[in-house]
Amino acid sequence: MSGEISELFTEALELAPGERDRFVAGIAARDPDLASALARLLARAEDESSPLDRSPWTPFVPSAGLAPLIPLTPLNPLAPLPTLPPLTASGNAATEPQRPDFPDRIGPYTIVRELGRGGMGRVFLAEERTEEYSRSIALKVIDRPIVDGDALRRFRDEVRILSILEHPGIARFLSGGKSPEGVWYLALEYVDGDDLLTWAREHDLDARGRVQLFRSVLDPIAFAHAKRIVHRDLKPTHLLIDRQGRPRLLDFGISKLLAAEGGAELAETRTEARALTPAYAAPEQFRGEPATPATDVFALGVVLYELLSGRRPFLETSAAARDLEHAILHSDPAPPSTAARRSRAAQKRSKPQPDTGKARSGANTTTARVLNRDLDAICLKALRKNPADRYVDADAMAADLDAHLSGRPVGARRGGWRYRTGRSLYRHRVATALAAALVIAAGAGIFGISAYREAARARPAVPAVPALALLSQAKAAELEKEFAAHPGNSAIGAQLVIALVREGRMPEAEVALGRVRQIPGSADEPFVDHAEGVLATSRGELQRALALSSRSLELAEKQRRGDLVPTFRLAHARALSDLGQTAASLADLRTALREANAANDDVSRAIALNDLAVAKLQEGQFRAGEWLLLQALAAARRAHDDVRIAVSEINLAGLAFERGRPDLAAAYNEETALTFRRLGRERRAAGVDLEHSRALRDLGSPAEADRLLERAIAGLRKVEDQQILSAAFYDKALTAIDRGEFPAAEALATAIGENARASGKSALLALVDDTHARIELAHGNLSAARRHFAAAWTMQRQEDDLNAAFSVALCQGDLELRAGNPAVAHALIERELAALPAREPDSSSDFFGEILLARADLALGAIASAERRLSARRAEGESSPSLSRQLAFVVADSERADAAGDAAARDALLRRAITIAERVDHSEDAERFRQALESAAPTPTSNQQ
Amino acid sequence: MPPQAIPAAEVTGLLQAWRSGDAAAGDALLARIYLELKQIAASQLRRERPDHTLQTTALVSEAFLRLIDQRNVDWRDRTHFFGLAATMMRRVLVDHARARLARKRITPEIPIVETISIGPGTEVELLDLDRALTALAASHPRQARVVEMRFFGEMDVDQIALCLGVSTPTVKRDWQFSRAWLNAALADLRPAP
Repeated sequence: MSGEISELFTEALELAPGERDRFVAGIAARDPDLASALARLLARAEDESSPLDRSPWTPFVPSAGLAPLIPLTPLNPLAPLPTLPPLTASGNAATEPQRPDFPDRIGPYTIVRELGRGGMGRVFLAEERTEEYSRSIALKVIDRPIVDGDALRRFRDEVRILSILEHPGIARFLSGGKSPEGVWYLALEYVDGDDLLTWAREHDLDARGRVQLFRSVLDPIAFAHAKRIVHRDLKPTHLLIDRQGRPRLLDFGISKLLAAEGGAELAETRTEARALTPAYAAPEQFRGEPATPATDVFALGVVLYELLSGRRPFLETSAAARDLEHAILHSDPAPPSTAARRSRAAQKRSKPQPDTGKARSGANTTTARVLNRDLDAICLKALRKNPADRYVDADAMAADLDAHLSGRPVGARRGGWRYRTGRSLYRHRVATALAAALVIAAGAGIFGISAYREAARARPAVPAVPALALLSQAKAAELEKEFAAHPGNSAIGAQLVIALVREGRMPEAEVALGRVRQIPGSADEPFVDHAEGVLATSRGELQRALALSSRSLELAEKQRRGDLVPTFRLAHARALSDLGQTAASLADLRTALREANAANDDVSRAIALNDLAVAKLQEGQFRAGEWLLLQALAAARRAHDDVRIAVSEINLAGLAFERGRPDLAAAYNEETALTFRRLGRERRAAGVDLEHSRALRDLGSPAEADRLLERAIAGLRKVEDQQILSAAFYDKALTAIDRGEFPAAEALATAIGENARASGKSALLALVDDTHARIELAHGNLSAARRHFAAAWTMQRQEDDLNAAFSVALCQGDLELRAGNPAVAHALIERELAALPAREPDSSSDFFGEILLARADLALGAIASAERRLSARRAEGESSPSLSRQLAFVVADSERADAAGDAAARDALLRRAITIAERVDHSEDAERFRQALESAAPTPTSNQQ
Repeated sequence: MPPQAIPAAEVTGLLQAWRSGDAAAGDALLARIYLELKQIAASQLRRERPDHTLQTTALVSEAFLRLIDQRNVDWRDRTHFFGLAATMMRRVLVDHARARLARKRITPEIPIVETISIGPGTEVELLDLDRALTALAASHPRQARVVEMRFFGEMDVDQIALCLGVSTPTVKRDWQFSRAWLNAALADLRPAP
């Protein structure tokens, strides 16, 4: 009834008034009360006013005489928005122009003079006078009416955002709205100052002064970027320096505001997309793509280039807009140092060119001479075509400029060797942990397969299904045919659903499930609940998956289908485990193992053993885990189940890698990759490729590792597995960092972040922070790196992934060592090692943790303790097949030799470290070691002063 | 747990839990937003800028920026945050109107309302509207929610549609219906002279 009246109301409103009455009369015949209520509502629908039409809140800016823009737009969405006469050059239709060109007043503002004109209207210097105060403001009068609701909405959104942007370096946005005369305006704080280029010229700044000046404008921009606000139209005339020499930025976000104002239909046109300043616009702006902080970075790159060289990067030959656009989109600028030399040469020959005017004369000989490669690199990085290759935001650009100003090398040249040596060694663990999750997840698809086979074997009541052996590893296409042949068999239908899920064809799986659910009697078929549970799991609906697996288990038990019980119990265990109910899950697994033994079901046995093994491994019990895995492998071989064999082998490979045996891991992986390719399991094969590439990298075959990593990425892209793809991106990002390719690493981090958001897997965000932390560290930004590592650590702890958290902690410890806080590093690693469950001494966490503790001991002067730790690891460290272990050990050992005053041993160890680093393609590390070797304090005997 | 004991990192989680249907998370979040808004409003008052008053949605925007881990949310979370804040703004406004009526003077206890002060003379109207809206919610919960978001939360049609998971035409129809319904109910409360 309550629903009915609102529907009738809507229906009646669409009728003409006469028809409405008939409509109501028709209802009165069957329900007089309803009709009278409806009539009353309809009478009120036409009310001219309602309390709802007035906002309960005060206007945005309580200046007398101004119609507030935001709250008082008509609340009735059907009321037309006012259409405004455009403000033309000859004045405004709604105002009485005192002078031919512009009005005397707009709202409460007294116009003083015109400051300029732009594509969207004019800017006036105006005064706002009240009894208490008077101040100057910049008043932008918008030349176009805001007509459609969409544009108005965007305009209002922007006004909201801008009104919270408060920074001493940003000219305040004061208000925006419509004056009583019907003029749309924006009021901004008026800044009395010069633009950046003029200021630099008039104060005769040298190159360093110019860089410092430029650096000062980055703070307010970084502030806005941190709030996700992009300027979109940065150029010298928006970068003002006031009379006190402070930066004052104009028009933050205004261009977006004006674009919003332009209206949706205009936004589609090319002219609207060009609401930008071509000389400073980034390539993506020409293409009409959304602006990001990296868009501002591009404009800042142009400004810095111009400030340093006196030339604009893309204005070499022609100032014609079309050529300029072409240049920005397609040509690479010369380094600013080169441009400065040309500029100087041009100045010698003649006076400055008219087309660049003042800006060009800003360059002087001093500037050109001291322009160095750092600044070239910074400019060119900001000017990259691809936004992902630039600095991510103003803050990142500022960090590099700070490095330059303080005499530290910037970007790729950065890094202390101690830090570098440690860093690259700790990276595989996070990804390994993720891969372990992938292996457990193998269950979902496999349960279904084996269960189907068991069901078919044990239940002759199910219509005979040909080629069972084939079906047990069937692809969805084959099952589709099978289901078509037996449309009343909900078990086959359920099997199809599972196969579709396995192949990542989720929408089709949903449809298939719908079809299965319509089969009579399907509610009593435990397989259907099971299949739905698999689908729920893959969608992350873990509670539902648990409920469904409980139901399928109960049904199977009630129907006394003992052959199916182990399968469904395993699914149940899996759901419990996904929800973090580890103890209950383990109990289920043990029961399932007993049931599988009793039923002589090798497939279920293999699954139960595998999952019990994974639980042991997660507890750090490698030996027990290995034993269980080998048993699982044997059971899978007995069952001739290739998938189960491969899954056990993957886990054995992961374990081998974890125990410092990449050689063994590679051998297992080779086998399993072939198995999965043969079975057409692209996702699994790609996952194995990823693991395999890690093992090969650690064995010193970087080229082959790269090839497999790329193949893994291609495969994962194809099957759209965002989570494991992110793990692969992470590997690639860390490899890029090892090689000093930071923009690539940044782009990969961004991609991981997008995957995390798209897939809702927040655990992946830890990888984003982890990658950023390493990049920051490589740039020497310790505090930023610390922040990112802390965030990554927290997220891993929240995910309850202790191993991954520990791998982050190792990086944190390394960072603290590098920052000169060995006591902090020591305490941190000890605390984290204590937090880990009991583990074997050959585990990575124990090995790398001990090495780091030894290094912290050395830095603290506890030489004896360090020597104890190192000698306990010497055999492993010197001959491990894992090069990352060897490298970590050798570096720590060289530090020990240094502390002991044995320069010859130290240098020999460093040379060995260089060799190892080169084998694993850590060019950055090798370079660090080389520098360390060159700059190392000479031996006391050879150089006594 | 007192609301201020909720660490800011959890607020994002609360928001997402509330989005996926956890009503208790919504209540906890509400308490947390209220505290944050109070702090923002208080600092705004301390600044004593005669020329600038925080606008409702700007206030909520700022609370959003402060409370929510920006890396972990998307625009849907933002909209839902505004949706939740609308309920709270209604509560704030109604409490304030009540206090003002009771004392017949401005009460400085609620800095939020001081900062974004409501115009004088609207208390009775507001309280009536609040009552009528509660009555509407009893029979038409979604339509009442549309009013809450639009009137108190100043959200636009698209945002409301997103928040409620309905189409924009539905929101517009709901608004039309509610407006007529509330007009009728208010006319009953205070017969036209």
